[in-house]
Amino acid sequence: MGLLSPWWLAAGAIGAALPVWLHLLQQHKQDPVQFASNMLMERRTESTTYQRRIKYRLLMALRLLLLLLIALAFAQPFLRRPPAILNAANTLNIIVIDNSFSMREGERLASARREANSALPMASQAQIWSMGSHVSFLSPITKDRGELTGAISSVGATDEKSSCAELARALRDAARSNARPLKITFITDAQRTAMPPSFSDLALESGSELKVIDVGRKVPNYTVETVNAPRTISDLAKAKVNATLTAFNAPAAKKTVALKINGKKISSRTVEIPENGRVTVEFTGLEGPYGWLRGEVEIEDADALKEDNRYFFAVERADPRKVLLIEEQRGTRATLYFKAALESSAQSFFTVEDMSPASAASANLGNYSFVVLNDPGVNIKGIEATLKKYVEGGGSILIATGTQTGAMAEVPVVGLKTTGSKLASRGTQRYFAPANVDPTFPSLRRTGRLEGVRFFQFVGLEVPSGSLVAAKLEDGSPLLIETKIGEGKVITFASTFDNVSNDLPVKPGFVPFIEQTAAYLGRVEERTSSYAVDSYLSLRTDQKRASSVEVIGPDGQRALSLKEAATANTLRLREAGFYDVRRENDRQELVAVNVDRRESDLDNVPRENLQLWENTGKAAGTNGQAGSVVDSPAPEPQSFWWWVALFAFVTLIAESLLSARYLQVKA
Amino acid sequence: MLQTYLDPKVLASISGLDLVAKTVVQGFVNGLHRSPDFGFSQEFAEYRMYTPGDDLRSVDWNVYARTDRIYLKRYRGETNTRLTVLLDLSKSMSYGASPNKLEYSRYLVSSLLYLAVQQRDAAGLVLFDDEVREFIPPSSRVGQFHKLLHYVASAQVGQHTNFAKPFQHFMEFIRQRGLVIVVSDFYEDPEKIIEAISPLRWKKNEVVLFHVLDRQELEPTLAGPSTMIDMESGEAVEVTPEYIRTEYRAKINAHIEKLKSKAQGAGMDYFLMPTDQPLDAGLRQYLATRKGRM
Repeated sequence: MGLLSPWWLAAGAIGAALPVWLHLLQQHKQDPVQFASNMLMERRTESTTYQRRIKYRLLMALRLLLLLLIALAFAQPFLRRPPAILNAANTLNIIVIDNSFSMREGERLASARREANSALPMASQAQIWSMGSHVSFLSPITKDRGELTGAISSVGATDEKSSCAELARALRDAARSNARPLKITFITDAQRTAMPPSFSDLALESGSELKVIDVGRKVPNYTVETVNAPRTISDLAKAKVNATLTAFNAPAAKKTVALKINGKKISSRTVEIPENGRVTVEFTGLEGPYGWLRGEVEIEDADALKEDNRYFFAVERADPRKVLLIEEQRGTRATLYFKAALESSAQSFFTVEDMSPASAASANLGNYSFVVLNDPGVNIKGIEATLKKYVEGGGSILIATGTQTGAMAEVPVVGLKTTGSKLASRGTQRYFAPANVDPTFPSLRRTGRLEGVRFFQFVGLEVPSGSLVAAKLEDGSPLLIETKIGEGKVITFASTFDNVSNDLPVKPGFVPFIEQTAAYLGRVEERTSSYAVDSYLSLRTDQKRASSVEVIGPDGQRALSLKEAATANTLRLREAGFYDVRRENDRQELVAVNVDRRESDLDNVPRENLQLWENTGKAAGTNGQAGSVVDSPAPEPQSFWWWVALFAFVTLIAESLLSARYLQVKA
Repeated sequence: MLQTYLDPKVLASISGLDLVAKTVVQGFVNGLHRSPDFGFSQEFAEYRMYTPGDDLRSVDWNVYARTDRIYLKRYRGETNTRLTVLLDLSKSMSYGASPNKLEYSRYLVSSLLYLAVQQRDAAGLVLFDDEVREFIPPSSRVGQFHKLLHYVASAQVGQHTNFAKPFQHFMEFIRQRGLVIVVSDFYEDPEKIIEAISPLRWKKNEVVLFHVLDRQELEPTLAGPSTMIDMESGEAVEVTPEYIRTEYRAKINAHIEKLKSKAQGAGMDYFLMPTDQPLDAGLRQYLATRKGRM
């Protein structure tokens, strides 16, 4: 037995002197009583004191015991018991088989199954787990070897990425919930990329005995790491596909890379991948019908892990979308710059139509992806109601304010009040520079915070509550404002797109600014082109609306049950390949899913590191330092202060009853 | 109603022993106490056959004329007696709650003296502890009562009690027989007490012992083991509540019974006067006893 706070016991011993003083010293101190005569008195000290001592000794003993028990409880006594892991009869055997993507290499998975079968206990209970990015329980806790063997045989390779931290977390939970020692056999290829950045994430509960069986080996591997392809494109001939090829632990080699669309090889390249390096391959031009195209970049030469030689991507071929540019004075520089910027982007599939306000009044705005108002003036009032209705119905408008807008009381459609056009003076303030630029705003993501752009003229705007100011000028005036109106949105630019009011059109950030703004307003950028295995695909944007979503997985089967199709908000993408998502109103989307390329790195964790991990369960009980190596498990302290406190409480009740009885007798 | 005023606690609130004495005695002194001897008086007592030697002056000649028999006509004689009160001033008499034994004894003594003076008896006083502190010979002179009360009121407790020495001294001063009242707590061996007092009886004195004790002396209670300090000797004795409840009570009762028995055996009257007992009860008991004797 030991004490965590032994000083409390010393304090209790000093405190125990109090009842001793009260009982042994006080009992001899009797108040003298004056009496008329002691002629008839006889000394009765011996017998009576003896009786009193018998009674009071019991009370004193209870009080002493109470004080000592309280002191003992505060001293936190503990018993050193043999560690639970030594109790073999109560041990739960857990056999974990790594079935991550990297286990597809060679005979790794078969070796793992063999090792698992040989690790099965003869008599004690066991459970079979599989480990990828998540842990799966393949069998119940049982002694039935047939059931356990069947569970081992059912382990198949997945496209998941292995995570040892996730396994350690599951093992900690299992140790706590089972309240008995665990004997864990982990059969894995021990990829270096499976280890967490912090070793403390691997720590196991005290009493867990881990044995890692490494069935992997360090082999060279080539893979297509990433593919950059347009998400939506109208002109396939202009499409550019960039693929990055990587060599993991591999020497330099020449590899033939093919580009396939819908399974048809349309192009190939031969490149030399440097040793342990990367190389980028660019394909120009795609072929295929309208709609969604299943793209694939593949290294044709076989290597250790052939499944990672392919990279999937999805491209939507569609007609270019129209953008309506409305301006009162047609043919301005602003139109020129805007159209040039929008159409020069290879990724863009927007075409610009410019109209006067009068012509726009008869146009069907629903045919346009979004509308641009360039320096709207009084003439725009004629179609303002139509534009408002367009926005409230879900349309988007980009407004560039110039001198005409500055002359008006408020900006049309959006209703922002103006404080007039402001010009940088020729004296002290020659121009205004942007400040407080929000780089996370979609329009400003790749604009480099508009650095170096000078504004000579802009329109002062008052920002109402509810509007978002994405950028300001250095004097605090709003530069870029987003306002939500109904289902749609309006972005107001406080200057124009010509190179008179500012020099933005001749700066590098202009084309990305127009391109990102167009994608944002045209709702193109909301879709991601590629997902990784184990990521989640959002199925619904409006959580409240009941709508059915159909998802066809890479294996051609429905990925969602009927209930999930009606209610699920997200879908976990378990396999690599193409997921065909059909949303409400026949909106179809093709999602390409690829294996996390960290699985392609087949480099092993050193055996020393695995030994440190194995010792975390043993070391936690002795010095609490994860990772320290100990030869034998140390005894575990089992605190029993609670029982001492309970006994003290019982003693307190007994002392109260006994002292109350004495007091009653005295009274 | 009168009993209320005779409560010792009530008497303690009355200033002046004379007033206390008058209050106590009032209601009891309805007549003079009778002389134990027959004599010349107006109150007829009995007829008795003549026997030779009787005084012929007592023959009722009218009866003789009618019956031709000689009868003596006897009258109750009225006489004055000499009352001497002996008050113990030992230190143990100061024991007790209000009133303590000495105060109670003052009330008792002053009441008895007042009773005697009212009967035109000669009254005297002896204050003693282990010596005779004051001796006022019995007298029926005017002012004797107030003189006695002055000594009673100014009496202070001394030290120890010694019955033999003061009584031996007192015997030397007794010339005539009378009534001797001893007021004490009698913390002494009963045999020694009676041995010291009984010579008074030989001189044909009526002796009455008033044993004054506090209730705590009769039925003491203790909260716990205590050390009892003797007020006279200072001796300390450790006792227990159990002893006080059982053995001590038996002892004090035995002491009282023995003293009473010895006193009555020596022809003395004995009265236990607990200090919580009204004075009139004691006086009534005393007077009733005196009456029975006559």
